[in-house]
Amino acid sequence: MPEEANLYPYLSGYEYLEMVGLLRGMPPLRIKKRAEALLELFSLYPSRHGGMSSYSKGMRQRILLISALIDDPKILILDEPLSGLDVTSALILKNLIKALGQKERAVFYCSHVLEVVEQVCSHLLILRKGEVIAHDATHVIQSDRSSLESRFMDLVEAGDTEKIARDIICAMGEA
Amino acid sequence: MIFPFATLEAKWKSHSQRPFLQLIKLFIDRAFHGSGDSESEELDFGTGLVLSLLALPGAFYSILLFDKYGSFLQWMHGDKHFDVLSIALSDEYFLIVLSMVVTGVAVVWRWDSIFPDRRDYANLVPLPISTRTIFFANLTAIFLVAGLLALDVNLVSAFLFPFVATASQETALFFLHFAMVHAAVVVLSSLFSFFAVFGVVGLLMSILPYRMFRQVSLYLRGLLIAYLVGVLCTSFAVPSLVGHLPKSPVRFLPSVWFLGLCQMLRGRASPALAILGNLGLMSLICLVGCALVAYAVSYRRCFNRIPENLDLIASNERPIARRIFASLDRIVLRTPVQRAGYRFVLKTLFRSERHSLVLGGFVGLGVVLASQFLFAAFSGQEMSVNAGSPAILSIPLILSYCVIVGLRFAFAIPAELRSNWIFKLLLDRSKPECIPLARKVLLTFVIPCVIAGIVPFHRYLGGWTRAALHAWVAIAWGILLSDILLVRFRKIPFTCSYPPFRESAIMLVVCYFLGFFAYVVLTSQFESWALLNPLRMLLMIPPTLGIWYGLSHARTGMVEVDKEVIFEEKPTRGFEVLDLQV
Repeated sequence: MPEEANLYPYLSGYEYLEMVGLLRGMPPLRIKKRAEALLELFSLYPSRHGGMSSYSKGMRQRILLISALIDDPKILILDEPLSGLDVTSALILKNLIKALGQKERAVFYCSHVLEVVEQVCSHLLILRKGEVIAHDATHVIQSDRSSLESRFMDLVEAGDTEKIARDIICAMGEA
Repeated sequence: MIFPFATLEAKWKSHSQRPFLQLIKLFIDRAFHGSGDSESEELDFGTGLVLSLLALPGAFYSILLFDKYGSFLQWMHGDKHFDVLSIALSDEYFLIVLSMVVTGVAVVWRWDSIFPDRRDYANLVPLPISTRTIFFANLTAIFLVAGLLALDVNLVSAFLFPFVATASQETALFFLHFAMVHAAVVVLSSLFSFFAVFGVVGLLMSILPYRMFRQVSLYLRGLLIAYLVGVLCTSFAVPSLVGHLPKSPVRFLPSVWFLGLCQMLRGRASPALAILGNLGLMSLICLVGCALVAYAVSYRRCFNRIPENLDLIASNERPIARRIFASLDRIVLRTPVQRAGYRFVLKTLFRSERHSLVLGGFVGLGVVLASQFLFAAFSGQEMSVNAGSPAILSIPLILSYCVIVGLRFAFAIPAELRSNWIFKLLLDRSKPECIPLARKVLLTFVIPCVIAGIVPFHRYLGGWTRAALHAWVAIAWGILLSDILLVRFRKIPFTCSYPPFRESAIMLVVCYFLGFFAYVVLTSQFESWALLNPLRMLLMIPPTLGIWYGLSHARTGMVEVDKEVIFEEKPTRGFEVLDLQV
């Protein structure tokens, strides 16, 4: 599932899911059943036959998510899946990722939002300029730190972010 | 004295920045470009090309008339003193119908762009512009578009047709009078068509709830298109019925009213035609008035309620479409990629304005050419006499040629390149599925229409054998043409970047013309001769098999890498560095 929800504007949400299901070799009846159930659960059922050009960003994101889930994949790669989602859908997705993990599905979750990563991921792989700088279970990487954010700052050796924020405020005040 | 161009330009610049003029420009742009939902970076047809396409049918028809009005040819036929006005009556009528049909189809096409929509509401209402200004700007834009359409659709034919028709006349005055009457009548008939469709939209929006309007709108558009195409296709029969006025039912056709007006202005109208001519003029004035009232009421009713209608844009599922796709899945579409691709292609084709405009242009051209051939075949004669004539036999070939070439042309136009990631991700590029998919799309458009149209018609005219043989030729030729056009095709339709059209445009046009000649003219001539003795049809088999063998040989000779699916069309280069150094 890519970060940008680029979808064909001339198809409806349901038609897009049908197309994806067919491309993945699913039988039409199963596609219909699964698509309708998932659309209902993601609150998209009433607008399933509307053109996707009229969908909001969150709606498109949810369609992408359903299209990724529709054939019950063994491996799921999600790139910033929370982008554009409303609060309820975001909560559903976080719980869904945890549940998929318990169902022995591998979920690669790529994100810059470390609070969410901390909540949903069992293992972490941190990249910096294309190099792996940490790879282990989340609790191991986090070690004794209170948050993943502070541990991340140690690992990437970023500057003093609070100081940078203060400098920005100063710059904004200058003529 | 130097004319103050700079001052005038500066004045126009400051004047054109006024909100009212900016709004008019916005509404006119929207009428030609649509609401731009796709947010794509793709090629826009542009107003110029749209206007050229709209002027094309009339121009094409006028060019075809060179043969009919050539004074040398008339002399050869033995007509030394022929009456141009009598001969031109049928063509005059056809051009009136054509201008009404092209304008009507264009308005039906842009149906949704006539009234301000949600985007306009969201953009314009927060600005310090009164709703009255928006209303008058939209109204002015509608009048300007109506005028522009009426002029454009008839621009070439208004000059070319009088030029061709009066070429044998000696006085320039005759040409001028002929041309002015013709231009006035076709422009007025265009305006009639515009305001008739516009009035229907306004009336429906005034009386129906929004949701019902959206549902009815689709069916009504289909009905209007069917009516317009029907009027065009039967236009060959009407001029001969004009003599039976005032009792003939053709008196109810608005196009006949304008023919009456034309004859009235030329001083050639019978009393019945003169009455119809006056009726045409009066009905146009009434129609403009009614359309304006309906527009004002519907504007007041709909524009202010746009925010309430936000959630009503979803359409319903269509069980008929679902059943058709399910049947095609069982019979025609054999692999998952074909099933998914077929649905994608059909839905994009009919919903994307860019693609349906291209296809509509080719189909429109086909209908005009077919009408002209039909007109030539039946003009003044009994139907059974000409049933085996090349003109009659060429009609399904013309239509199938235009549909196949139009579809093939539309396949090369991308829909939304950024969304192609799904095909890139899920398709096995080494499996050659593109040609079967594209071929199936082309043939499912052509074969059912050929069977439904040819078989009953020719069964009625000449029996089962003739019907079966003609259908066989049309289908076999359709399959071969599809295969020729798809020889090196390795794209899912609408998913690849633009091919280098410009570099090959002239060659492409020449090929289309030559193809038309071979596919339509030569085939129908041969068929006409062969149907006199059906055994002669066997002569069709060797060239058919030869072309088929040549195509399959060309396909098997291609290297594997040339069969892979592509999503980027690289421009062809004059030379290429082979880089053979080790």
